[in-house]
Formats: sequence, C-alpha cells, structure tokens
Amino acid sequence: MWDEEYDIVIIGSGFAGLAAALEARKTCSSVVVLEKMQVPGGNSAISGGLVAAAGSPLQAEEGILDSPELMLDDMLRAGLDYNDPELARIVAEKSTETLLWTIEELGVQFKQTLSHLGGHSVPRTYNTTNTSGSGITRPMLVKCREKGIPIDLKTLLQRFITDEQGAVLGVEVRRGYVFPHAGSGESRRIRARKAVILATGGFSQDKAFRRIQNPILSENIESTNHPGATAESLVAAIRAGATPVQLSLIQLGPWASRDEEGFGVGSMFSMLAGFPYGVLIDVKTGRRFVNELSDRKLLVDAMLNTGRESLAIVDQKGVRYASTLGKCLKRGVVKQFGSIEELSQVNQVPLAPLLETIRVYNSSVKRGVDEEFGKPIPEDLLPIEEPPFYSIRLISKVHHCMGGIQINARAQVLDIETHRLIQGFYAAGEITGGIHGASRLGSNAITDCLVFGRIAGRNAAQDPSR
Amino acid sequence: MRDSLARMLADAVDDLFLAWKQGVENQGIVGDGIGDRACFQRVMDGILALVGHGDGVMHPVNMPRIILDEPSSVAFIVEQARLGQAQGVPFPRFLQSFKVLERVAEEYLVGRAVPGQEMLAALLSLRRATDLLEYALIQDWERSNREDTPAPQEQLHPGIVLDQIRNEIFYKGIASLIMKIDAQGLITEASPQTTRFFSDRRIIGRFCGELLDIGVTSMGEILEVFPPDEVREIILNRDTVRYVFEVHLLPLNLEGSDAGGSILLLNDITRIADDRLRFEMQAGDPGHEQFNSEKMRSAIFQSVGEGILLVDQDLEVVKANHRACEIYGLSRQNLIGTDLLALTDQAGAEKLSEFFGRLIEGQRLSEEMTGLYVDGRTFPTRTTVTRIDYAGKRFWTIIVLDTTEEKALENRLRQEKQQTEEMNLTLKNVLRSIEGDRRDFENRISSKIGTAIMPMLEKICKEAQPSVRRSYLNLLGDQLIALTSGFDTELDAGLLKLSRTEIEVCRLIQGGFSSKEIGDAMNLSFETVQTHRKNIRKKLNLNGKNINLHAYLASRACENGALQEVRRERGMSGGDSRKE
Ligand SMILES: Cc1cc2nc3c(=O)[nH]c(=O)nc-3n(C[C@H](O)[C@H](O)[C@H](O)COP(=O)(O)OP(=O)(O)OC[C@H]3O[C@@H](n4cnc5c(N)ncnc54)[C@H](O)[C@@H]3O)c2cc1C
Repeated sequence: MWDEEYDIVIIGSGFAGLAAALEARKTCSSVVVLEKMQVPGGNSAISGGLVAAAGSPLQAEEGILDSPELMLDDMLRAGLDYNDPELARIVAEKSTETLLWTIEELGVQFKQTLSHLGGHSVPRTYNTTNTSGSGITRPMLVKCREKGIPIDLKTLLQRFITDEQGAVLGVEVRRGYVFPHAGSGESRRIRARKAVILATGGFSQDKAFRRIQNPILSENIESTNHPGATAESLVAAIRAGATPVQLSLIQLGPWASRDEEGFGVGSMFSMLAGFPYGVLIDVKTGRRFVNELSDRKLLVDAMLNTGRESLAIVDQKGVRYASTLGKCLKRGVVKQFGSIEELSQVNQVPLAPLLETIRVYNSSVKRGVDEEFGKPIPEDLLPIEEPPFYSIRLISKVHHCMGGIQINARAQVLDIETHRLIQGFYAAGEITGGIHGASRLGSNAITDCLVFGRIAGRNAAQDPSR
Repeated sequence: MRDSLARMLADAVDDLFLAWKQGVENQGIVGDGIGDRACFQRVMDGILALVGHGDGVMHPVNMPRIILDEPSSVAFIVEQARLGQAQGVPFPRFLQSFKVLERVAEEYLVGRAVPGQEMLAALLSLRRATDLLEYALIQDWERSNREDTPAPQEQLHPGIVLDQIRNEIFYKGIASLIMKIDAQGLITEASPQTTRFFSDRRIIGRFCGELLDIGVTSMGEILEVFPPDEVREIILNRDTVRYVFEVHLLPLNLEGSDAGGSILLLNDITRIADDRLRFEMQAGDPGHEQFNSEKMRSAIFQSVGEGILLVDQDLEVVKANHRACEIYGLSRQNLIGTDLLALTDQAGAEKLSEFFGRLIEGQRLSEEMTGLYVDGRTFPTRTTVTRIDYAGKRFWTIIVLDTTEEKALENRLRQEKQQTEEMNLTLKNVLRSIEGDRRDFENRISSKIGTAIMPMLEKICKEAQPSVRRSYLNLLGDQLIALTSGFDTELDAGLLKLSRTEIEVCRLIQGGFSSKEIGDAMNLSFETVQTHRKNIRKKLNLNGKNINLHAYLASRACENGALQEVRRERGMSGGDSRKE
C-alpha cells in the first residue's frame, strides 16, 4: 500500500521546511524534504533576508535596549491583538537564540548594521550580507546535502493519508510534477513512520483563493511571491482535519516598485533607504500623508486611500545602507536626479508643494520630532538636502498570509473538531496562522519560520515510530 | 548585403560542391548527373544569379511578382529539373538534391564568423532565394504532372513516397502562404499552400485575424498589427509544430479605389527563427520590438532544452530560461542579477573571463567547465559563450548543457569496457585451461592407445589360436572401456556385458518392480527371473557384495542414464517393455 517510507516527511523547502529537516536529522536518520517546484527555496530564497531578533549582539554593541517583551508588544500592537499570544511569545523569546543558530551552525553572514523597520520600536533587524534570504537558504541547503537529507524537487503534495482516528500516516504525492500542470507526474504514496511536517508557505499567488478570502484583492493586484505560493496544500491540510485561522488576513507590501515585477530589487531599496531615511509623498499633491515607519498595514491603507500614487524620495546620505541601489538604477527602478526640480519634473510632482514638504520635513528632523505624522527620528536620520536625489515609484503588492492552519506551542496541527493535536501532523512557517495577527512586522517572518521549523523538526523526531 | 552574400557563396563554391557531393551521397541519390560538378555548377549559378538579382528582389513581397513577371530569373532551375528528368532523374530526387544544396549553403553561412546581424540577413536572403526556386520548381512539376499522365509510382526514387514529398514541400519547405483579403479582412482567395497549411480549417470567408489567431477583431486593428510595408512576425502552431512567419500586408489599390483589399503574405522563417537563438539580440531591431517579437523572443529563450543565460557587461545575468534555473537550483528572481562567475568554480571563472576578453562580436566559444548547484554540489557542463553587441552594449549568451548524465554514461561505458576486458581475460584463461585439459586428455588417450591397445592388436594379429584371440579380444574390450572413464557417458563395462533380456530385467528392477511382477510382465517364470538377477549381479561384479541391485541400478541410471544409453546402442525401443 506504500510506495516509499521515511521516518519524517517534510513538505516544502523554505526556511521552515529546511530548519525542520536539519533539526530532525540530528536524532533521526530517515528524513526527506518534498518540494513541488523545479528549484528549492520557495519565498524564503527570494526574500530580503531581514531577520528580527530581540536582545541581539549587535543591539548590545550599539547600546540598543530591547527585550522579547518589547518585541512581543510590537507584534501584538501591529497585529491588533489578533495574534495567538502564546505562539507570538515563543517567536520573540527564541528570536536571538535562532539568529545565533544561523550564524554558528549554518555560517550565515550578516551585515554589521541593524535596520529599523516600520512598526518595530527599536532597530532590531539583521540583514544577510547579500541582502537576500538566499544568504540563509543556501547554507541550509549545503548543510542538508552534507547531512544526506534528500530534497526531492518536482514532488507535489496532493493529499494526506489518515487512519480512522484521524492520525496522519503519510502523504499522496505526484512525483515528476511540472508546476503548474495539475495532471503531471506520477502518483505515489509515501509513508511517514513518525510524522509529516507541513511547511508549504503562504498563498499570495493564488489569485482565486485569496480573492475568496478577501474580495478586495482582485486579480490585477500583483504579488511579491514566488509563483508556487498557492493554496492547494492548505486545502489538503483542512481536508485532513486541520483548523484554518484568519485566512482573510493577507498583507500587502507598501514598498514594491511600480517599475518591475514582484519584489524585485526596489522593495529592499524602500525598506533600507526610502522609508527610514526619506519621505513618502503623493505624486498628485507633493505632500506626505503617513509616518513612513508605520507598520505595513497602516502604510498600505494610507497608500490605497483615494488611489494615491506614491513616491519615495531620498538623498545621497539616505542611500548609504541601500545595498540594492546599483541594481535599482541599472534596471530603472530607482531614478537619480541632480536636483529636486529635476526630480519633480520627471515624476510630474508639483514643485512648490514638494519643496515645501521637504522643507517642513527637514526642520522636523532637525528638531528631532515629527509633529505632523509622528515618524520616529533617530540620531542618524538626516535632512534631505544633499544631491543626488533618488526617487522610487511605489505600488502595493500582495505579500504575506498571516492566516493559515492552527498549531500549538509544539508545532502540532490542531484538529478542527476536537481542538486536540492530530497525531503525526506538524506544521511551521507561513502555512500556519495566528502568530502575527492582523499585520506581520517586517523581518518577523524569517524568525517565525526558523523558530517553529526547528520546534517542529525536533518534536517530530522524538515521536515514536508507527 | 546580397552582393556580399553572392560573393561569399561564390568564394566557397569548391567547398560547397564537396559538401553537396557528400550530402547527396549520404542520401543515396547520386547518379544520372546528380553528384556531378556540372549539375552542381548549373544549379549554383542559378542560385547566385538570383541572390545577386536586382535591388529589392529578396523582399518577400516581391516573390510572387518575380515568378509572374520575370519567369526567366527562375527558368534555369526549371530547365535543369526538366533536363534531369529527361536524363532519368525523377523530380523528387532532383528536388532532394536541390534541398541538400540549400542546406549545405545554409550550414556554410552559419559556420562563418560573420557578425550576427549580417548573418541573419544573409540567411534570410539565401532562404528566400531557394524558397523561390523551390516554389518555381514545384509549380512547374505540378503543371507537367497535370498535363502528362502522372508519373507512375515506380519512377520515384526508392524510399520516397509522393505524400512524403508533398509534406516536406508544403509543411516545411515552401516559404510563402498567400491570401487575398477584402476591405473587411475576410479571406477571398488563398494559395494552395495556404489551404494545405490550414488543412483542417475553412479558409475562404474567414476573418484573417481569427485564422492567424492574433486576437484582433477588425481590419483597423489588422492594419495596426501589420502596418503595410513593414514586416511583423507571428507564431502559428500546426499539429505539434511551431512555425514562425514573417507577415507582410500589401494593400491592392485598384484604380484609385481603396476598397480593393490586400494581399497577406506569410513567409516561413521557422528554421531561421530557431537558429536565431544564436543571434538572440540582433533580431531585436526596434521595428520588431512592437509586436509579438519580444514575446516570441522570450518564447525562443524558453523553448530550448539547454540552460540559456544572457549576461551584460558587468557579467550580471539579465535573462535566464527555465532550464537554467533548474540547472543551478535558483529561481529566476535569484538567478537574475547573479554574477555569472559565481555559477562556476575558479577554473571555470578564469576560462569565462578569458572568453569575454577574447570573443569578438558574433563569435562563439565552447568549453567543458564545472557548474555549481545551489547546495554546493558541482556538476560537469558544456558551456558555450557567444558575444552579441546590441544598442552599443556588449552582451553574451551563455548556453549551458548539464553533462552529468553524459559523463555518467561515459564513465559507465568506460567501466563496462574495463569489465569486458577483464572478462575477456578470464575467458581467455578459462579457454586456456580447457585447452590444457583437452591436451592432457588427448595425451592420455594416445598414450593408452600406444602402450596398451596397439600392442594388443598386434598380438591379436599374430595369434593363430582362436581361444587365445578371444581372450585377447575380451582384454581389448576392457581396455577400450577403461579409456572412456571420466567421459560424460561413461561406458559401464558391466552393463555392456548384459544380454538383451538381462537389460530389460534391469530396467524393470530399476523401475521398482518385484521379481514376480517382472516375471508377469516379461512372461517369464519367477525362477527364470531369479536366475537373470543372479547373472546380472555376477556380470556387474556385485557378487558377494552387500549391494542391493535395485539401488545400484537406480544410482547408475540417475548418474548418467547409462542403461538408457546401452539400450539405445542395442537398438531397443524405449517403448513398452511388455511387448518385448
Ligand atoms: C519577496 C519576499 C521578501 C520577503 N522578505 C522577507 C524578509 O526580509 N524578512 C522576513 O522576515 N520575511 C520576509 N518575507 C516573508 C518570508 O520570506 C516568508 O514568509 C517565508 O520565506 C516563508 O517561509 P516558508 O518556509 O514558510 O515558506 P516558503 O519559503 O514559501 O517555502 C514553501 C515551499 O513549499 C512549496 N510548496 C507549496 N505547496 C506545495 C505542495 N503542495 N507540495 C510540495 N511543495 C509545496 C513551495 O513551492 C515552497 O518552495 C518575504 C517574502 C517575500 C515573498
């Protein structure tokens, strides 16, 4: 009745799946990772590589006071208390330990400066030296190869196989699957002697499914995600008895460029320069309309309000941490100007109000308080005055699914009827729901995926063989 | 361009001849002039004349016009074909030889280190000229077929069937599909080739935009998509084949009225489009940019089985196909923007850097190098780099073939070869030892014959006394039997001494019958059977030994079927013993 057997079967090769695999492999020799795409890594590999950690070594160096409590507070505030506080607390508490794990066990390289992302009370965000999540997935993949963990590509999870009690015994997959052709590949039944760990990420690219959850998200809203971020594995989990939570909470990213597809290189420019060191203005009026360091939900809501056309402007000093600037300029995503006049002309922003906006903003910066919108003004924030000036045209794109299936603190999937754990069934990463509530803070997803991926792997490996 | 194309071909005429000769030989169509220099020269002269023909000739729009207005420009080839037919070369064979020449010329052009833009133009010109000639040839042939009785099947070159040729001609060969459309874009006339190309569809009366599947609904839009006097490209899928056509719309302004409709001309450039991979960027002159061309180019970029990367002056990947993503384990998002040199090892990076320094525009270099998968695994590749200059900038296309399987196959073959060699060696040894055994055996026999049998024979010859002779003869028999020891069917000295009846008794004993049963079966008294048993024991040398006769016989029998053997020798049938 089974075609193949492993102790632990992990679905999805992103942060969560790979972390689970590496952790499980420490005590269990038979671990496999199944991935439907032709390449490993999912959203994780294309992510920005920003990782939040409370109480980190860099914070200590820079004298930044932070704590898991403060991080949890930030998460709950942005999440409008929709969060599962127990799970959110675990992410905050294990954030630094997990960051150190990536450095010490995987050899991940981080830049030596912290970023201050919107919605966080303090700078607590590390960034990989290559400004990409691939700076983490790559060492993870290398480690998997060294440890002999197979990553089987082109293998689509179709269905969970359960017994009469509802325990998950294994999975039915299609091997040789060619995304996105539903009928491709061959059906195979794979037994999991200990457990199945679901780590298949979100569904931001599943236009039909996300629209069912949130009708505002019409087909023509682009997404930053990899093409495989679709909902079939979520549906399979629900069919197997998993509890869906908050599926309509879908986050849009405010920082993506209008002039390229997906996340591209512009998003990181906005996050590392445009928002923290620049102004966000409405092209039609030339005026600011929001605190640039608000969390994503507030930003997107403000940007979508009355169909604003948003432009971020920053000067030469503001781009000093923008590691993707070269690529942005090359691809025409960010434009460079000798003067504000030139900038206003090319972007068709009315000049007088724009100059006035910048003047007011600069004086707020100098005074150290932004009375208009309440943007936090740290010491390294300088007025916008030194040419060349840079602009990026922004548009909101579907970015992250806060909703998903419910897990407990041990990463076990909970049954929709009994609310008790389903035997042999774990989940971690963006496929799970409830951790971030209404809005996920930037750089918290990687921390979440790694924390719960490891928890799932460790616990699954300790389950008895069946 | 045409000038230089004609010159290029003229300069290479000797090489082309050799290649053509080789080609027609390979196809097995040599003879009756085909394969001769004279025939080649005439056809070649014709092509050269056409290629170098007056200005504008090779524009696709002019093709039908040439045939109509200037039959002389193609007449030579028609004559050559007729001449061939007169000499006993059936038309299909002639056409085949012509196509070999066409292919040889194209290959020659592709192999030349000509800048991509020029090469493309040269290929197009050549292709149009040869298409035109082919068109003229076929027209003439069809006409003559209609006039004469159709050529009987046997006259065709063996292995070529009429339909096959038609397919070849109409589906692959002839370039132009020609349609006349009215002011509304409805098709009013279509050339036979067009009808054949769209074989399963009704053509006359259809809206051309629909037929061409270009998603437009009015003549106005057609004019936008295909502005008159400009060339556009479209892709048409027939069966499983993807065709690329250059489309030209030619308005017919009849006597000042603009309601005359237009001619729609589709020139098949599939082969060139496929080749274009190599000239990826050159095809992208701004005129092509506006329609489908970008899409088509990326389709070409996607459709190939090898990994293809386009890198810019910073050696940064700016374009990548699916296969390249798969080869390196990187999503497109990750692969684009990557430093090319990070996809290979130190040696590979050095080799690539050297290529980049050395390559001139349009040139291509290939090398085996190591590829780096995302998880750190290395794999063998064959990497081909072509430089392309576009809009004042340098680009390189990198074609990467993952040769892991090829290498594994090579290794396997090498291993197998080695194993085979080892096996051969073992076999040789075995054969040698068998040979040795045989020699030993022969030696044994000949020495026995020499030392025991020959002297005995001599003695028999010299002996006059019959009784002594008899005992010599018995001895000789024993010696001969002894010689067979170790044979597969060893002769049993004892068994050989048995009489027919005794053998039959043995057989039944062996079969497990009791003396009484044997007596019944053989119609003998019980006592007679007992006497036979006693004699048998004596003859088999079992007297006084504690050996059961049944057991003895059974063991002898299963060892080598000796009893059977003896029976056969004595001519006893294997049938029912009772009858004996
Ligand atoms: C462009 C971008 C940038 C981001 N930047 C950051 C950042 O800087 N910091 C941060 O904290 N967060 C960031 N995020 C969010 C974060 O990267 C993701 O939430 C995280 O990578 C999710 O990891 P995961 O392991 O849960 O899923 P993924 O990494 O998406 O992996 C899931 C895998 O499962 C596979 N899969 C799905 N369905 C099936 C199936 N049925 N069968 C088999 N396999 C399947 C997918 O193909 C995929 O490879 C970013 C997200 C995006 C899209």
